[in-house]
Amino acid sequence: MTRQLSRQPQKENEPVYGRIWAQFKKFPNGLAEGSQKPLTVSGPAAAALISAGIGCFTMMFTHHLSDTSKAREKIVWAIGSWIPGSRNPSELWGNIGSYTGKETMLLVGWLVSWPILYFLWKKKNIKAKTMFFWFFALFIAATAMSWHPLFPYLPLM
Amino acid sequence: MLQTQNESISPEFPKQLDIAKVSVYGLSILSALMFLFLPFVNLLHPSPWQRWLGTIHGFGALLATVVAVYTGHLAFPLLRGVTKILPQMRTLTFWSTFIAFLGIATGNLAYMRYRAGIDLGGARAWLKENSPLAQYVLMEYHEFTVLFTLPLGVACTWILWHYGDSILEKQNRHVLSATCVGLMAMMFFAMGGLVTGLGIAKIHAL
Repeated sequence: MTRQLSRQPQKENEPVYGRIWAQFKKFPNGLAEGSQKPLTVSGPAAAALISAGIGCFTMMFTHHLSDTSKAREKIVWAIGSWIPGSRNPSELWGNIGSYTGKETMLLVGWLVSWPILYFLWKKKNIKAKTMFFWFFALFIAATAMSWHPLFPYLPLM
Repeated sequence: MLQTQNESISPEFPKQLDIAKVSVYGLSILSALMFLFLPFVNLLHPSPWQRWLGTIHGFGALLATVVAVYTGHLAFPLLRGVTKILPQMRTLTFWSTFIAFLGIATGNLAYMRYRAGIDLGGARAWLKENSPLAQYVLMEYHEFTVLFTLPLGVACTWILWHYGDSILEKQNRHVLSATCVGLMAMMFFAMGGLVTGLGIAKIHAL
């Protein structure tokens, strides 16, 4: 025979670290409560997740373009020169280089596609199959594209 | 003389739930402190760059991974419909994303020194000469996939807030599933980033 071990939480019995953790879990309070006017269709969620994948894929596509041509690498570096440390005259300190352009392309691909997809899907229900297919396809492709052995035109030695 | 189990335990003995709770908190606090101590070993490194850039990025990356892994693990009960953790998931995903951003920002700082010339002790140039696979396989994976945690975290935070408690309703089942998979992916990329980053630092310091 088993006994029921669960019981109602008693705040006065809670140790101090438990009370601190409980408070921290609800901080900030407005975020913990969630929206009072929740969305009712799946389109906006699909837009948020798929646009994240588009951003990551855009960055990896830019990486492949940049790593296969010095001229394109210069353009990519110029795109990212707004990020602190992109260019730095000190050879001892080094610089971030064209990686800043790739980071910028992630932001561009993500933050441009999100409002477009949101506008297109804000009142639509997107099928689960569509949402999962694009989410997985984009993130798996982006991850695979960071692995040079899969692409003979990228340097390995 | 034999005693029954009930008679052998005094009434002052703490209840099992209290022992379990103290143990969980105690182990959690000790484990967190122990893991977060790891980057401070960099302070003993002979390279001044590794001493401060390694400590800053190491701490940022380890904290980001610990929080992302905690959030990723809570995605499993959320997916099973445990309603009481939903408020915590919203704040935790937000903080996880914020700390992931700090990990990325400190990574940019460390990456500058990583790209210094070989005559000046730059790790990238040395790895390309002596261990090219560390650069072209480990580092390429590291520098790109850790960035995936930022859009994933922002998307999941946005969804968890905007859908409110209705995310647990039947018609939003696929929204909840996709969000939880997103949090698990964030955990996976954070862990991959930490492991590859530690691997590279083990071969050549900043």
